[in-house]
Parts: sequence; C-alpha cells; structure tokens
Amino acid sequence: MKLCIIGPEGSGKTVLATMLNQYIKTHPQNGLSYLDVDIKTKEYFDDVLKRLNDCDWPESTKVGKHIILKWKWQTYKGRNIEVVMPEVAGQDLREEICGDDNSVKLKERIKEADLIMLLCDVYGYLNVKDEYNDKTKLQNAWIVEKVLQEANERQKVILIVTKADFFEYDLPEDKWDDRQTIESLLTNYIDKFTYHGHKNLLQNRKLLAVSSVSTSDSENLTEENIVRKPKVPLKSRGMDKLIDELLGLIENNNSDTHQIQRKSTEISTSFRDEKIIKNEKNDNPIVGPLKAIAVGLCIVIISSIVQSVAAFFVMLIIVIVFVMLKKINSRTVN
Amino acid sequence: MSDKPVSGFMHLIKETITSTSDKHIGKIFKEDLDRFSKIRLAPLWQLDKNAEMNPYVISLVGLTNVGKSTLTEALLGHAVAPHKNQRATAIPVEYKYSLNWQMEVMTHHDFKYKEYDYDDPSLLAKELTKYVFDVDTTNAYSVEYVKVKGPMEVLKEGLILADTPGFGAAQQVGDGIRRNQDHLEGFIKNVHRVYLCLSVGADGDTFTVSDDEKAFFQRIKSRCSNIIVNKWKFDEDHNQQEYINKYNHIFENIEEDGFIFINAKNAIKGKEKSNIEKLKSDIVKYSTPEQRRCVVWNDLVRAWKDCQHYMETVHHLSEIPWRPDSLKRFLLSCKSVEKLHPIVSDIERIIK
Repeated sequence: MKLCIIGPEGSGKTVLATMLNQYIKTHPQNGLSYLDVDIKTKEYFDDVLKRLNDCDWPESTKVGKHIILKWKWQTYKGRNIEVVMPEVAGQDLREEICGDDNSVKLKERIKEADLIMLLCDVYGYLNVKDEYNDKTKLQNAWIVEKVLQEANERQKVILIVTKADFFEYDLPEDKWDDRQTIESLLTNYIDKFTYHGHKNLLQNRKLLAVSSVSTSDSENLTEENIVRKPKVPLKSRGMDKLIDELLGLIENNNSDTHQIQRKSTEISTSFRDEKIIKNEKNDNPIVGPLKAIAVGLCIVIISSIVQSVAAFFVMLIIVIVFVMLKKINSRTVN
Repeated sequence: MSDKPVSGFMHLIKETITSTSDKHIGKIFKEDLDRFSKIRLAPLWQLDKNAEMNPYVISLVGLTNVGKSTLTEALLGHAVAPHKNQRATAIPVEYKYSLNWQMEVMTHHDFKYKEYDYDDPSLLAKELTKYVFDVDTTNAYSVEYVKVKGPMEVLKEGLILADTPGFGAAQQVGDGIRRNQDHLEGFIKNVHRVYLCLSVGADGDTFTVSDDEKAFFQRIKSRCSNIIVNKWKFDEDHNQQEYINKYNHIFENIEEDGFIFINAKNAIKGKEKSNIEKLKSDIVKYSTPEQRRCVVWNDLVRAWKDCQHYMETVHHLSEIPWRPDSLKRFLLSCKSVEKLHPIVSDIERIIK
C-alpha cells in the first residue's frame, strides 16, 4: 500500500512527519511501527529532530531543490505501507501541482498513492497578507483543492488541519476529530470564495486536526518583537487519533482488496461452473436425432437376435425411462 | 498552546500587522501598533518573564557622581553604602535583607570567599569602603563581588538591591578597562529591574545624555520603567513637567509618572523634601512574585485601554480590525487571570 503526504509550503509537513514518526517509534502499542528504507530520509529526520530540540524550526526547502523522503510503516498485522513525502520549495510545489512543471513528477506520485495525507494550515493561510490579491495565498489554497479534485474514488484522503492548538477557542482538543467543528473552523477562517471550492470535495473525506509540536515564546525578544519557537521537551497532540484513523483506512483498504479478491473468485468460480456444465453437455458427441437413431437401431438389432416382439417393446420402455430419468436429473442440477 | 497574557497581546499585534494589507488598515496605523508593542509591551514581557525569579535583583545605574550611593543609603535607611566624592571602583555591591549585619567578599585571584560579621552598620561601611574605594587598582580588580546583608526594611520581602559602579567609571581606570566594563555589562544582564539615575546640575537643568548612555539605555530599556532624577531642588522653582518634556523623547518607553524626582541628601538628613518614599513604594511593589505579577496585570489592562483609546482618537477607528483568531487566543490567555477581566469583557464584546 502506498501513502503520500502532501501540503502547501509552511503547512507543517516536515514537522508533522518527524514528530509522527517519533511518536510511532515511542508508542508501538498504537499498532504501527516505523522502518527506515532510505539513508537520506533518516539523516533528514534526525537533523529536523535536532533542530526542534534546539528550539528552532527546520529550514524551508530552497527553490530548485527536491528531496523525496521515503520510509515505511508496518501494521501489527505485518502490512507494509510505503510512505513518500516530497520536500519541494513552495514555488516549485505550486508549479508542479497547479501548473505544467513535471520535474518532480508529483502528480504521478499522488496519483499512485492509495492513501493521501493532505495538510491544511489555517494559521499560515491567515498569516499571508491580502486575501484576494496575494498569489501565494490563492495558490496554497489551490493546492489543497487540486489534490482533492484529482483524487479518485479508489484513493482515501485525510485532510489534516495542522497547528490546531492555535485554534483552541474554536476547536478545543476534544473536537479534533469532529467533522462539524473542523468544517466550521474552515468556514470561519478560509475566505468564502476559496472554501466554496473545498467544501463539496471534502464531503467523503476524513477531517482531522493535530498539533505536531507545542510552541512557546523564544527566550528573548528579537528587536523587541516576539517569536514562537518549538517548546522543549517536544510534545505532539492528536497523534493517537491520527494513527487510529490511518490504521482504520489501511484496514479498510485491506478489506476492500479482500472484497475485490473474493468477488473475482466468485466470478471466476461461476464462470468455471458454466464451463464445466458446458463441457459436460459437450462431453457426449452423439446428440439429438443421431442419438435416437442409434438407440432405435440397437433395439431393432437386439430384438431380431432374440427374435421376440415382446423383447422389442421391453427394451423400448427401458430406454424411454432412462432418458426421462436423465432429464429430471439435469433439471435438478440447474 | 496557551500564551501568557502579555505575549498574547504582543502576538495579537504582530499577527494583525502581518495578516493585513497596507491598503486595508493603513501603513501608519500598522507602524503605530508596532511601536506600541515595542514601547509598552516589551518591558512588560520582560517583567512578566522575570516575575518568578528568585532572588529578584533591582539595580540603580547611572553615570558617576549622580549620587547613586547616597540614594542607596537613603533607600536602605542605614549608612552602609560607601559614598565619597571621588571615583569609584568597578565593583557592584549587592544588598540583601538579613537579621544581622554581614559582608561577603569573593576575590578572583585566590578564589577565596570571606564572610565578616558586624555589630554595627557603620563598622561594616568602613570595611566596605576599603574594598570599593581605598584600594589600589590591582587589588580592586581582584574583587569579584561584595554582598552586604543586614536588617534593611525595604528589602525585607526578599529583594536584592545592587549598587553598580558609576557608568563611565570603568573607562577611567587604565589597564583593567575591558574586564571591568565586561564585568559591569555581565552584571547588568542579571538584573531584573533597572532604575536609571540622572542628576540635576548645579544650575538646575544642565545635563546632556551622551551617545554611550543612549546606547546603554537601549540595552536596558526593556527592564527599565523608571528614571530617577536625583539632586532635585524642591526648594527652588524647578518645574518637573518641563524637565520631563525636555528629556522624555530620549527615554521613549518611560511614561511620565515613571520619572521620580528625588533629593537623596535631604532624605539622609531627615528633611521633608526628599520624595524618597515614592521611590521606596515603587521598589517595594516588586518584592514578591505575586506583587510583580500584579504590576504586570495592572499595566497590561492600562496598555489595552491606552491602545484602544489611541487608535480611536488618532486613527478614528471605533474598532481596531484585530485578527480574529489571534484575538481569541489573547482572550483565552486573559481568562485565567481575574485582574484582566476588563480586557476579557472588551474582547467578548468585540467578538459578539
């Protein structure tokens, strides 16, 4: 099974992936385990974790630099999930998803995923100036819309509202899996024009909210101004629900596959039965009038050998009864 | 995530500025909001951050000869602070409450810690003078710190008062300049509240602020909310308001009532016109963490009201277009503090 994590720049992909993997490693009882498959990815996550522990945010990816992070999750039932997360600069990401650029083949990666974790950063969305004119804001919203639009029926999508702890007033932690509350948060803060595009597309998609890492003010003011930094010891919230949801979707995907397999087995079985019946029907090459002539000839020959009219009639009756019994038998089988 | 109320207000201003276009609320309005945050809220943030610190250190800093040591003596009510009409060494002296008179000295050349007991503060003052005045330059640098303990009422609740060497004194003493300057800078960093001392000249108002002082003030301004004007001649016709108007553009975050006019000599002599009680009451309100937080909450409510009032009168905005999510975060942070109820009710009205 393949999973793709995608979201606009600054939506918290890197921090979510790092903290989620860390959570999975330290909470094996939740039913998922983490497997390294790529040294670059491992080094990348180690570096991000170090930065977070130093109360600093990871650097954003520079334009033109593409890193495809890959790792695996394994369920307690032994099912492997191949996870892929493109680390691409915001500008490149927008050009790939909303434009013609195809150098990272992002669309293909998203298309081949069975499960998409789509990140939505309402706080970051509000941070961008000028609601209608700023290209970045519009394009970031467009990315979310585009991914939702292009996801097909087969693909499961979870829309994850990151930095949910910033919305404690509208979205208290006990509502982080409550569809209605998350929807009203999106309605309240994402401007109507943009949200209108999302709303219908979200109908059959799961909505969740998480806080990948708690924040606090930096130790000192920078030029008399205040800055939020990761709070040490690092703490995530909402990860249990996210993992539960992931496991549910993975399991669901599994049972879907079983159903498909079962259906195909049934189809092939019935097809085989038909074939057998056909074959059975076709087993005897002598059919119809030829069969009757052959039987009649046999009766005439045997009765002339025995030289008895009575024997002729007895044999005729036996043949008629045999034919009738065979007909009754074939009807019962059908 | 729950902000502290002061940082909640600072984030509210910052996020309102970053999320709104210039054409929406105007560039000047945004600049004013930013300046308001830096001038009014940054010092409050520092005070809030240090509120729980124990011990809590208050310091008097200023140029030599502004009368800091006389002021210290007037504040403490005992003649323990050495003060002479000559240059001081670069050794800060810390005063702390204790039932008995004691002096602790630490020297860095032998790393020896010495503790002396005294029956009388005047004996202690004599000994202390040896360390901070009557020493040759080499020995002066060897003293790391001097701590004086005694029954000084103003410090009873646990405050520590630090009498720092005169700003500029370090520049006069030759070879050890850098070390003493660094020593002073390092010391000031660990002080939680700073009172900047100035003094009135002989003619009543001659006093200039050097670039060094301005630079120094920039470094301490987030911890400084009071200017003490010493040697004020209450008998003569000096106009305090005129003085404030003349100098408050240099000390932009100091409010008008942050200027405290004192005559420390009068206080020592027991004369009425000293105004030392005002300074004492100002210092005492920082004595305990609860009192310090109380100062923060009162100032924050005032700052909130002043901000609304300023924007209404200057920018003719009946409602400031606060960013809604930030406003709700600020509301949540204020809800936990009863004293911030005026802010809570204001925000709830805005949200409705």
